[in-house]
Amino acid sequence: MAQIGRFARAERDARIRGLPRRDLWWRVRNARWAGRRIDWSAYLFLLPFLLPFTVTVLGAIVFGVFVSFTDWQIVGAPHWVGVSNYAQAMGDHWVVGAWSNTLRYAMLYVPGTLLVALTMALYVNGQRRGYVLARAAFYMPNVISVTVVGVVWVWILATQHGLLNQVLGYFGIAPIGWLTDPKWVLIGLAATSIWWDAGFIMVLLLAGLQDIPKELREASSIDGCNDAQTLWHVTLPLLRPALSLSLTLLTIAGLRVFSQIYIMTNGGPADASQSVIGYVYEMGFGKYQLGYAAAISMMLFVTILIVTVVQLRVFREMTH
Amino acid sequence: MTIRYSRRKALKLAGAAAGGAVLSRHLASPHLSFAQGRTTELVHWSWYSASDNTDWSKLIDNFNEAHKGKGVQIRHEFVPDDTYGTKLLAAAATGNAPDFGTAQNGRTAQWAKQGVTVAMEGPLKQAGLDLSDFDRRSLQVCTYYGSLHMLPMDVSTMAVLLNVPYARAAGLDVSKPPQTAADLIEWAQKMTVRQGDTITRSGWMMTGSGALPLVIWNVVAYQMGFRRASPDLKKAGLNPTAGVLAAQWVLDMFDKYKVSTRSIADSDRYRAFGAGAAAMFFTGPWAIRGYADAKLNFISFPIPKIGDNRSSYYEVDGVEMYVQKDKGRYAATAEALKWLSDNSLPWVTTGRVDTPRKSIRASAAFKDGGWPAAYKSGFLEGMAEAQITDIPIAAAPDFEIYGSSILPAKTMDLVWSKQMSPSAAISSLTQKWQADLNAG
Amino acid sequence: MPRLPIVTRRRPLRGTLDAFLWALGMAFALTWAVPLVQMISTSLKPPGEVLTHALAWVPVHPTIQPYIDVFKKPVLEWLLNSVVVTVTSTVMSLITGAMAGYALARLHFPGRRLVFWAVLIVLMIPTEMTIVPLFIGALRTGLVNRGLADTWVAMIIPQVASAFSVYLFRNFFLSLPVELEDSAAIDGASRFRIFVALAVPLARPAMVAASILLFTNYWNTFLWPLLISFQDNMKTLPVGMLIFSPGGIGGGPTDINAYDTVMAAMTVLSIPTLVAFLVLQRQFIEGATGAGIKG
Repeated sequence: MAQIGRFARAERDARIRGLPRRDLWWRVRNARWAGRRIDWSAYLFLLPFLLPFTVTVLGAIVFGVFVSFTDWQIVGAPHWVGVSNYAQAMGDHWVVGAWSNTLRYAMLYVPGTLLVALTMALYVNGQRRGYVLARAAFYMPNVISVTVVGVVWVWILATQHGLLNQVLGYFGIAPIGWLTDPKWVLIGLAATSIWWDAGFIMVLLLAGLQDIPKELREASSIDGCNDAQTLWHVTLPLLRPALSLSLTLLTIAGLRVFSQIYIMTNGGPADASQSVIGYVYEMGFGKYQLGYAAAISMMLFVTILIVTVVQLRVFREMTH
Repeated sequence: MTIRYSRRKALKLAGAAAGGAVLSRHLASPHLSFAQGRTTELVHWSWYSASDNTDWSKLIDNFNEAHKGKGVQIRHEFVPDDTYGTKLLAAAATGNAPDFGTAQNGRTAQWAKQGVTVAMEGPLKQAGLDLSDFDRRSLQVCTYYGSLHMLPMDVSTMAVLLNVPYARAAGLDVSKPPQTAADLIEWAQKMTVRQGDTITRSGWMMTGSGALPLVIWNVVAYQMGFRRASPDLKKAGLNPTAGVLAAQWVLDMFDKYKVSTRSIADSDRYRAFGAGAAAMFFTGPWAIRGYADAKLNFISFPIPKIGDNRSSYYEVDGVEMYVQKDKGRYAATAEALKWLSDNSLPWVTTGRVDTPRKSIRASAAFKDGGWPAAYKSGFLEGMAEAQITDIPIAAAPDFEIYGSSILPAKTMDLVWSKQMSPSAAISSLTQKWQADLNAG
Repeated sequence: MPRLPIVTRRRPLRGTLDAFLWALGMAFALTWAVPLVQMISTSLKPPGEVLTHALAWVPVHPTIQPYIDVFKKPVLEWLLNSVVVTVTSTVMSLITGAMAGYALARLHFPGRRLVFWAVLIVLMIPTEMTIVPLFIGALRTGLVNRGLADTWVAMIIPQVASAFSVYLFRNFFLSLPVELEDSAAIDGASRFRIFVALAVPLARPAMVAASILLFTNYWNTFLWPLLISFQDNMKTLPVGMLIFSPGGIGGGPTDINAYDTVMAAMTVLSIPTLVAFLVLQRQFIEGATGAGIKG
């Protein structure tokens, strides 16, 4: 109260005398930034988040970046080695292989998940009989831990006696080495990830679908468009923001893939499913080369950053 | 008002219950009594999982039972092997390392160099353990950089498990298992089942990648004269033509004799043999318990002579001691380790099948204990020729002969999947090995 | 034309094609449930059947022995740890996330873009890169390997500040109309009062959506609790259950007949999140689609 009183008095004094007799308190309170008064309370709002965030997240990242320029092996002090970890990664053919696997995996996983999730979202959004049940079934895998996903899918995709190959056998298809054939393993893993993640993307797309006014679609069908035409000309263009977000999240997840591969194939067979993070883990946790592992992670992070920014830009331009 | 009160009360009760549970746990834990200075609590990490964990835990429980009220207890913590090293190094770097942990010969030589593991002869001798009771070789392979860094608890080799009903159905006499490469291939062919081109039962199991084809290649190559490193650890990749021939032998089992299929996954090999997807499986004594419990009808026999001799895989498992701030703990740890070694009978008869200690091997309890002879005789007979093992230098993981997602496995996987020629793979490995040997 | 309320919820089927598509969709939904059914069915099989009747849906001789084997381990203690850690982390992330998200969406201050970009970048950083430095930090502060309470704290601290939560709430608050809050501000209410009395009640759908997403995420967190827990009774459920893992995960040799036990362990591990989701699924999905997670 006293402060407000003091503040009001100062203001009144200034008005009466026509002089800028503004004390520090007044100036801070009325400080402007980019043309508007600053909400100082924002910092209080941010404090409970920023304090632990700075220590446990940003601090660890900064240390990780530092480590990528050293030869740190956990025991003993880190020694500065400049960019030699990065140079080494450039010439390491295992790194090249891991990048190629990761990109090919992402090219299966991202469009695959998007397509499946879109189908699910359109189906559920139709609100036909039993849609709540279908929606629950579609989303359910998303709450399961990766350990469970991996262990169960190793069974389903087993080459001999696996569920999927048995079903395919009814149609006269010879057993496929979903997890044992280097040519198929990324497809098997992508299928697992699609099962795991499509439900989540479905929810994102459902959110987008519900923003589309029903009248628009109804109008389009009155205009003589069939369902497919309505989908193509009305629904999908209006779904663009949700699709954009989904694409971004899926790309990040695809490039960062690790746990399910680690559990299901551990990068095999013949390194055909080793992902970038898988290799980071192998170097960091298997060989304790923390510096080298950090350097490869940094390269992946920069790639993700670039891809994300480009994707967001492209979509923004398409929308405008 | 009443609702709020009762809810708060309920919460309080729940909190008290949870707190009580936690508290009682702590009161019961030996950790607290250590603080009171009565009992020394030794912290032990092990990465033994599944049935290994059961058998090993039994040994530790025996110790704690025998030392109840005698001033020392072991706190046994399971640390999965894929994070074991990271966790241990971080703990050691900050002065929190456990007193001792499980280890395999050679693999942690680097830690000896870094001062994470401690030399053990001194403490063990002080504790009264007679090292001359141990097989010399078992101690040799646990000696890194001039001193003993691991106490052998068991010694083992790998042998071939044979599915008896399959052999009988194929008209084979299981009392005379294969002795040569020709025998082995004949047996494998007779027991292989195909549907069209697809092998539905492997006569001789090899996974398409990973640990199993790697260890088979290593054993065959060694029998043929290939050496990863010279005995003095100066030169890498001796007699590479033998290595190439052995790789060709592995490839022939897949493609020429068609007795193995690449469609069994590395991590699925134990299940595959149990499920009848293979008639012969080259594995270690750790696999016995699972098949015995599942009442599978099987016997074991030593790996046949495929090259010039019957050399086989050799592994020593044991415990290593980690660096402590309080050096006084070493003596107590060594005493505990002496007890574990003296009383390792249950571990070396059911967890594993052989012991490094002459006195235990000579005892009647060892001969009559544990698994039936049909299960373990192949492993025990095979011990005579067991000699292919890990190389105790800092870069030991690069030389490992049994494991997946290690450099040799990843490199040879490219051969098994025909993305690289055997000679190219072996020369690439040799190059890396030479660099490792030069680094020491 | 009068419409029955029930019809507005579920569209009736129109014609054969529609009925066919409907059936196809339901078959698709059933297929999606197959892996989990397979898991539960295997967990009820005796060891012999796991090998011989691997694909039978219904166990011939159902048994709960695998579950008895699982509960020989301190599963209830792991469960308690998981509940304490997950619930605390979720609640803290909701509070810190809602406050920070509100500030980023509504308040005007220097550094706003900087904080937002930091949040976005953290969403893209592979956590595998930061986990070892974090672990060393935890060891240095001495939080580790002391007692249960310390381990809980060590497990929770890195999960208090969730960039994901902030991102979610920022987007949510941006989607709310600003007028109501502006008029409250003109009436002289403090920012904090506006936040508590106006913004938070409106954010209920986002809270439900965020809490399920955060809860499942924290429940399934694996690498950090794996590193930070040292004693058996301090593990979380996913970490403790590693002892049942076959080959690939926990590593090392395995016994084959453990597969029934593995599936029982996996079922126990899945039940808390599955039940939470099934109970809250309507609020969750409707909350999430209504106003929650959007770009």
